[in-house]
Amino acid sequence: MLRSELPQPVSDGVRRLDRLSLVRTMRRLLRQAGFSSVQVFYIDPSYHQPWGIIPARRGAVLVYEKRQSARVGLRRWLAWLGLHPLLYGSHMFLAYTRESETQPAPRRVQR
Amino acid sequence: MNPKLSQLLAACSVDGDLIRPIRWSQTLILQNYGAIPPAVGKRGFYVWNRGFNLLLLGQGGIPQYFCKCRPAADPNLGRETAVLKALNRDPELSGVAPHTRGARSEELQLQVSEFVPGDSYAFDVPGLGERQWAASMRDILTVARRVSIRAAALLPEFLAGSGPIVLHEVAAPSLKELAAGLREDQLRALDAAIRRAGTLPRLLQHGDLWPANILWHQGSWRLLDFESFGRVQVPLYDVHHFVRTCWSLRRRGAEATGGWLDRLASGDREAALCRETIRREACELGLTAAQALGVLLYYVVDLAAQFRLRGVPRSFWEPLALEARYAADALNANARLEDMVFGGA
Repeated sequence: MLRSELPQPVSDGVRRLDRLSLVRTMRRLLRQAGFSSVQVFYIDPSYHQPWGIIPARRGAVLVYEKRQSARVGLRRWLAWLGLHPLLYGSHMFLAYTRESETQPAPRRVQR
Repeated sequence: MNPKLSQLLAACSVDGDLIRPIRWSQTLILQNYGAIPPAVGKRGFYVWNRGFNLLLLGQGGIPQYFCKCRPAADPNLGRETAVLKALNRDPELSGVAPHTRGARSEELQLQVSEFVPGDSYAFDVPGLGERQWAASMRDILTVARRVSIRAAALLPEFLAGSGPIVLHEVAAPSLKELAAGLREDQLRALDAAIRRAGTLPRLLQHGDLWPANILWHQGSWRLLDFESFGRVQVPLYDVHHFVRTCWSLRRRGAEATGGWLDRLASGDREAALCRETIRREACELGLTAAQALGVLLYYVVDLAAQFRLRGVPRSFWEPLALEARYAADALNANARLEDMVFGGA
């Protein structure tokens, strides 16, 4: 059966399951392409409307989810289990060829 | 991280911990209203048109700082920074507001506050029992009143004048903003009821006192989001906003079935708690029932007008404009509105 023929929620679920391997694959491909550092973020609710941008790390995702609801529901469990791509609709990858080590000195800044 | 942002963070650093390079991987972007400068122009003047908030994580991914980044021209962030600094310096209120610093460049302004942990009242309020709810509202409003009274001494420059407020004068611009949606007799009725309130003592209001801006932490209530602090100086305004929004969270979906004034006047048990809360606060502030009603009408009209001015969708302000029409019709039908909504206080 083609994906497009699946009922919409099932189709969405399959697409989200697909994304579980996306981060690792993209990271590998970007490194192979010559980027020395890759940072991954989740975008909530989607890249069309990036209301929240969350580093793809367990701690950061748990902090974000705790802010969204006090209830320890399914989302909190998915966050705790590290199944983050099931929670968020979009990913963002920042890939660097070389990381800047130094920070420019503060200037033209008023306290 | 973006060098412009890094410079501002470094300028806000207290003990040097924000001078270190901060990576995006340690930073959550929250409430992202849009890039600075904006990619596209949007209607309205309010802060939510552009800017974003950051949550900086420290060792072990623990939230350490909460930052607000806005365009340099935005007046509200500087205002909030001044309020938070003043409140935090005050020994009596240091627990209510976090330690805060601010910095600005030609393009951006940044506010950095110590992260305030705690449980949002917005998450708790729907599940509280009636007694707990009434007690928590009383405690929160006591804190808010303490802040308002103390802030007048700490921030005298925020007071728009030294004398009392003439309610119909401050309400006039909001009534004018809504005039197109009101009949002549409705406008007259609202204006007359607001005029009956006469003058009121000036009191700085939080301006957005609703459950999402209240945290419970280590046995005390903390208030957040002082961006609108002092814009309104009419006593009891915060009380009306707080009680209405609390009840909306407890009765999700009820907004569609009837207006706030309707529900406040109803025989519902929780309506009685709301009326009692408003009445008690009015007594604490030394206001009469006519004054409390005048402020309630001003609150409804002002909030609808503010939403309209900010250019938010009609669905936000239309229910409030309907409330104003409902109140005006009830007044024109010679209903004793103060008896209806405050139970004859």
